[in-house]
Amino acid sequence: MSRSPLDGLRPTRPAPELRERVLRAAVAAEVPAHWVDRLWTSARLRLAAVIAIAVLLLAHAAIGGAPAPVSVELPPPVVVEGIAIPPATPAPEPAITASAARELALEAAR
Amino acid sequence: MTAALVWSFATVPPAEDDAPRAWFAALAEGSREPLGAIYDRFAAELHALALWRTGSREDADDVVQEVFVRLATTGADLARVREPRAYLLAMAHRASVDRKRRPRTAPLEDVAFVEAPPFEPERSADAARASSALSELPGAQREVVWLHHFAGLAFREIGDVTGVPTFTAASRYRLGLAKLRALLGEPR
Repeated sequence: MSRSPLDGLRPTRPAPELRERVLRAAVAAEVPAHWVDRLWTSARLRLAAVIAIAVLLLAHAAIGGAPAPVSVELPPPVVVEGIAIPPATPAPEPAITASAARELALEAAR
Repeated sequence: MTAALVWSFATVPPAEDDAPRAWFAALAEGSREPLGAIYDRFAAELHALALWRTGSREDADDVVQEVFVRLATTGADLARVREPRAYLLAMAHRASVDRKRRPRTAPLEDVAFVEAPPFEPERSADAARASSALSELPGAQREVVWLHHFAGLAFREIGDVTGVPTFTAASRYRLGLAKLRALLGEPR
């Protein structure tokens, strides 16, 4: 291993008086409160939360509330050999092909 | 009950290597008692890292204070820290980088990065020359030189602390040492 120009030297240390300064600041530092605790202890935040909820309720009432749920009567499933087959959904409209469109256009021209 | 257990655990560390984790567990429970022990164990390293990164003793003092204030106010998350030393070094690194970004109000002072060991005053001139050369290095290279040479961290660990790939950490060390040798007039 090659010799380093720093061999035999040592890094400088902090001033002894820094210890008291740092520890005093750390002990005096306040832990930031959790937002739930802040909400619980701050009258302003409580008021803001109440106002926000009231505004949401008023807005909800103003638009007539949520739409009533619509019940859909489904036909009973068909049972074939003990296997329930769900009711068929309407088949989608078949897409018109290019050749069919051409035939329709020719027919219309005649 | 739990607080009492943690308190007794913190005041009588079970073993030297487990002590920092016990101190962190006590801090996580809200105790401030372990701060003194943590300072005595790690402050010199944190200060050196900050000094080598920022190049300013005043900034290094502020970084150490910032690290300890954050440590005191972090709370329950400290219980999950597995490597307290690496965690503290990473905190000091981030605080140093933040401090370097701020506009400087005071002029840069002549910093003694290294000193002669006690009972070897004849090496004081070497220390002064080395400090002068070190002040010419970029802070990122100087920091890696300190982390590898004095703190004994592997390049992978340096990468974890400073948030760079292992290759970058190794590259910074090589470049820093080469420049230091060139400045001191030593062969590479």
